Amino acid sequence: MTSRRNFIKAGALAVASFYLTGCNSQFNWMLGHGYIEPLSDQLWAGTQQELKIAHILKRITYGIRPNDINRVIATGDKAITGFIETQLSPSTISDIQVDLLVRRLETLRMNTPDIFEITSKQAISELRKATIVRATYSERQLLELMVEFWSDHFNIYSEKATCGQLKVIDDREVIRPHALGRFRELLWATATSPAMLVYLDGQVSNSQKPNENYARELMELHTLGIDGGYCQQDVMELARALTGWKVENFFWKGRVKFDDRVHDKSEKILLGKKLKVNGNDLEQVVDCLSSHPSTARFISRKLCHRFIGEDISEELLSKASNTFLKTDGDISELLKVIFYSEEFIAARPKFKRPFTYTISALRALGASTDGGKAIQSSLEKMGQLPFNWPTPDGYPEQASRWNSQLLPRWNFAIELAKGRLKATTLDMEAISKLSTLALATGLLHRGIGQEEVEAIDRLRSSDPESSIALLLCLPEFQFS
Amino acid sequence: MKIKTIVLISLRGGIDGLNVVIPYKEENYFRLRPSIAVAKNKTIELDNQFALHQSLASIFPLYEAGQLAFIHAVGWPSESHSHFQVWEEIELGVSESDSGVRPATGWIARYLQGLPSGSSALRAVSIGEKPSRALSGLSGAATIKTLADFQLAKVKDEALFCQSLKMFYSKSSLKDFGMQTFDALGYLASLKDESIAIDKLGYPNTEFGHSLHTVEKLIKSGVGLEAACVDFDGWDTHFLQPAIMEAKLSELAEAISTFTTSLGEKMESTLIVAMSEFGRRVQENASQGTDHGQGGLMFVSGAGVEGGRVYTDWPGLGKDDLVGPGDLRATTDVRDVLSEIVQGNKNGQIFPGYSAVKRFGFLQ
Repeated sequence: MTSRRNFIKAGALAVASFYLTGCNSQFNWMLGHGYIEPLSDQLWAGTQQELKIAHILKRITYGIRPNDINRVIATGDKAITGFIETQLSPSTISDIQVDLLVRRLETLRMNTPDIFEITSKQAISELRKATIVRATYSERQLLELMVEFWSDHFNIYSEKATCGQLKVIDDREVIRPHALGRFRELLWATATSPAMLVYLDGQVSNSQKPNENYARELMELHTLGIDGGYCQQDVMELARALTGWKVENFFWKGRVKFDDRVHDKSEKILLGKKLKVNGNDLEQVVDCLSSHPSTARFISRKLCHRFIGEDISEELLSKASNTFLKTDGDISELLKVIFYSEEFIAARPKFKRPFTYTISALRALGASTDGGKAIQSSLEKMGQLPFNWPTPDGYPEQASRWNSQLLPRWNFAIELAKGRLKATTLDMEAISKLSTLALATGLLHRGIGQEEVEAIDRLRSSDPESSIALLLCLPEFQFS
Repeated sequence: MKIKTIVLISLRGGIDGLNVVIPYKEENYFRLRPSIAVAKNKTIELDNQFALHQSLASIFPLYEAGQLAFIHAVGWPSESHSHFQVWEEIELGVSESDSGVRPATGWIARYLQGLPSGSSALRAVSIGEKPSRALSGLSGAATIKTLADFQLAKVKDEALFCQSLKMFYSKSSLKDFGMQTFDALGYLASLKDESIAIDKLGYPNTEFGHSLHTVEKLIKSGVGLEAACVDFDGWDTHFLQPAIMEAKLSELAEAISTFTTSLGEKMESTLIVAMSEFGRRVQENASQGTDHGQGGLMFVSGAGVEGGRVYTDWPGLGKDDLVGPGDLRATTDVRDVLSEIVQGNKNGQIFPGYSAVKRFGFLQ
């Protein structure tokens, strides 16, 4: 696509970074407290190693900040493996600053039943704030990506009944603790999550009238996949096995309990195997589904799709699924297979979903954000406000579902650059000191055509803010 | 007749079809609704069985001209009387009672995906705050409140900005999408300057009036609009139904008659479909209202409609005719009506697990 372009390469000039004062206090505060990386006018050299690191950072973080690449290089010989391994062990990464920032959001620490004293709207809006702030500033980038991945996989729609409040608890106690852990534990946690019981009607299911909603999605979307080898009879058997799991409605509202009185105790046959009568049905179901070869394949395929792209070789897929089965569904081990594969390194550019696009712009330009109303509204217009997808399949991954909606992205870029987003701002003064070339390569981490640079420069002289918007609109910046 | 654009009006809350297209010859109607039945002198006769609420007088000419048809006693096969659940099922195009496939995409999305056309960045729109679930999963589906939402945000030198952006996209793998977006912007830019007050145009100055006006402008722009989903809520008339209905029906009729008049010839390729999630209980409740029922009302107007008729397999209002807690029996499945509009269910792709059982022939 770009081979015929006139590439500009500049030497790796190590020039001091800017610590410049922005015009707003939030920005200064964030800069002063180390949330924001000062912009750098160091030019992109584009060595093989830098290219490779840039590629990996684009895929396993929400986008490259100024100096990120240098920081990885500075760790020495095994820079790349070191980075990946560290990201896979988020507890070893200090993230005090973001923890402090998120601590201000009291709703996130609330539990049932107290959380119902807060409106669903307020609860979910605080969780969205935290999600945006973490994605932008957390050092545990892979963890945040995986939280997003599982939040889609085990989608909860915040507008249904009490899901706005319950999703806060689901995010804290179900998704986050297990995002890089074992699939079985994650699956168990989701199955006993009040948010899931309410969202997929487990709540209204009982032995008299088993509701099939959750049973079906549990196999179709959460584990086996639609071609995973189950049939309608399995859905019905599973629905019966799941009866009894309830969410308290009055005292202890929002607590999950197992109500033996509405549990169907008759015999059930799931995927050709009889469940032990008088055993714990849910334990057996979770065991069976989480260790099923179809699940291994389905989860592997989805993760490959997320981190590599839509075309995956059968070889990688079976290697990944085997690892899933061998390691008892160890998500980190599965990710290693993906990250250390040749296909991952050679992966073609992947169209960013709106959330990734937005956060990558904020990171690349060292923006300050409170994750609040203005940026949430932009995300909604782009079509990917977190926890706002109604159906249980979660926000789609395929590029074709997103790439026709460019205008809201362009408008986000303009509003951001023009300073029209409340509490999400750029330090235009610092940006104005950088050359167009430094800015462009700092965004794209690749060469850029002379013609593009000239076009941006032309606009820059008459309307510098719009020229920054133009950079964020570059087709290449829509890809990671 | 070729339908280029479907305008789906969702009357949310469950419109009381019995007080809109009134079975004015049935004693049971008056007996069961002593305080809310629409008196004969407040109706316009449609045929020897039904009469129209006079608040809809402004769309009666469409009926007379054969461009408007009503479909009565139609319903979605759900025992749930929940607004949320029934709308979800309708918009996804699949009934909970037909177990099996449960699509994540909406029925209009699947219909449009099956069509060869559709390269507009504004192929389908939901008017309002939220995307309609009927459009879920369709690329080229936008949600806009007003046309201003599909405009480039303000930049000082828009010409230079767009020229550069076009240059970037023309050389990239996103070329087609970039150009479609510019095309759509171009079409809409030609409409921007209109500043006549909406009530001068004849639309009610309400959210619904503004929504239909927006759809009118989109169709006229030639942007390639194939589906528009417009919400009109507030039909959940548990209390003081007569006064509420009169006002809302006038608003509905004024907006639609202005819309069809303004579109003129373009109505020949535009089809309006109005529907609700369910009808209401035949017997009135204790607060001059009605509770959720089953059989309801739909109507269609525009492209190819064989109108001037009420299409129905009328179930009657006798004691034995009613179902459930006293509901008008739904003798026609919503999907039969919609299947006719989309020219067949395409092997169950649009309404999975369903095969149409009847075709009224309300479209040419």
